Amino acid sequence: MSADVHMEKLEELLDRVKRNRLKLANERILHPEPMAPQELPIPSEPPPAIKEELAPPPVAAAPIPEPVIPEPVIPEPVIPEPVTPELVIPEPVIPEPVIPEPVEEVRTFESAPVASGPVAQMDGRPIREWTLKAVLNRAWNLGGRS
Amino acid sequence: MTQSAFDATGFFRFDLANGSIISREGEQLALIPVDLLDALEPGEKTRQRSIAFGKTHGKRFSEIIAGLTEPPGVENLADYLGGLTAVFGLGRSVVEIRGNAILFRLISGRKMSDGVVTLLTGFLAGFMSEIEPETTFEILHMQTDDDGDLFWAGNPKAIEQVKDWLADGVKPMEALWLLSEEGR
Repeated sequence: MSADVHMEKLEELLDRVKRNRLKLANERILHPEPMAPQELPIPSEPPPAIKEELAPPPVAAAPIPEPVIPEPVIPEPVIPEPVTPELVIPEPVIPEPVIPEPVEEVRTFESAPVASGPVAQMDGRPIREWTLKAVLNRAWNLGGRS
Repeated sequence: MTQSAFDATGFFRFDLANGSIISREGEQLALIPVDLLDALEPGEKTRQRSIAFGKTHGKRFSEIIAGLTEPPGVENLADYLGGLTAVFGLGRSVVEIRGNAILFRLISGRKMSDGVVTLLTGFLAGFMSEIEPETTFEILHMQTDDDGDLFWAGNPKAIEQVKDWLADGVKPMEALWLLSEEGR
């Protein structure tokens, strides 16, 4: 291959590369690639865990932290807004005129026969042998009449 | 139930057209709260009208016992009077015989006012006077106790005598005993 032909091929390849780069650039604008994670700086010292492994803990025990009791959170009362019911205004009902019927029926109160009143006997004498007339005569003459 | 037992059936007739209540004896009545009775004045007017009230029903009772085939007994009086006071809401009445005395016990469960006592003494006096027309029984309210109110029927002279004893502190039943002893 001559040097000229070689140069032509190189230029052609270079053009193809440029076109591909341009094409890729256009596609990135339309579909941006997620950002590559930032490279973290490499710490100059080892992490604490490793540090602890390297350096043994002090002899004195670490103070136990007191438990932190969270204060109770009192929820603010939620006062619902009064709901005003919608007023339903009934349509006025016009009553039909009632024409009273003349009262002709006479109701009679009928009760069961009343229980008989008892007679109390106070002095042991058989009242049944006395007639009412005799009892009333004795009662009338009690204490005398004059 | 005896022949003269009080029959409450149809005793009251409600005449709604005329707004009135009529008793079987033709009285015009009014149903009123019983508390209103306590407002009755215990005067002569109440007594006289109560006597007329009693006479109306005593007359009816006399007619009933006049139609009996056998001579009426005290049971007949107790039967009729018990029903009558009950139907008028005046209480349950019991006839008591103590010696020769005849007494009426009214059991109403209420404390009687002086006006109601006047009403009942007048009613009983009027009722009794129609049973025995030759007599003019008077009624004296003797006592009030847990068993009701006790009324005694006697002749006017005996009534005055017992009133004097009661005023002197003699107990009611003792006064009746004294009265029976005096008559011997």
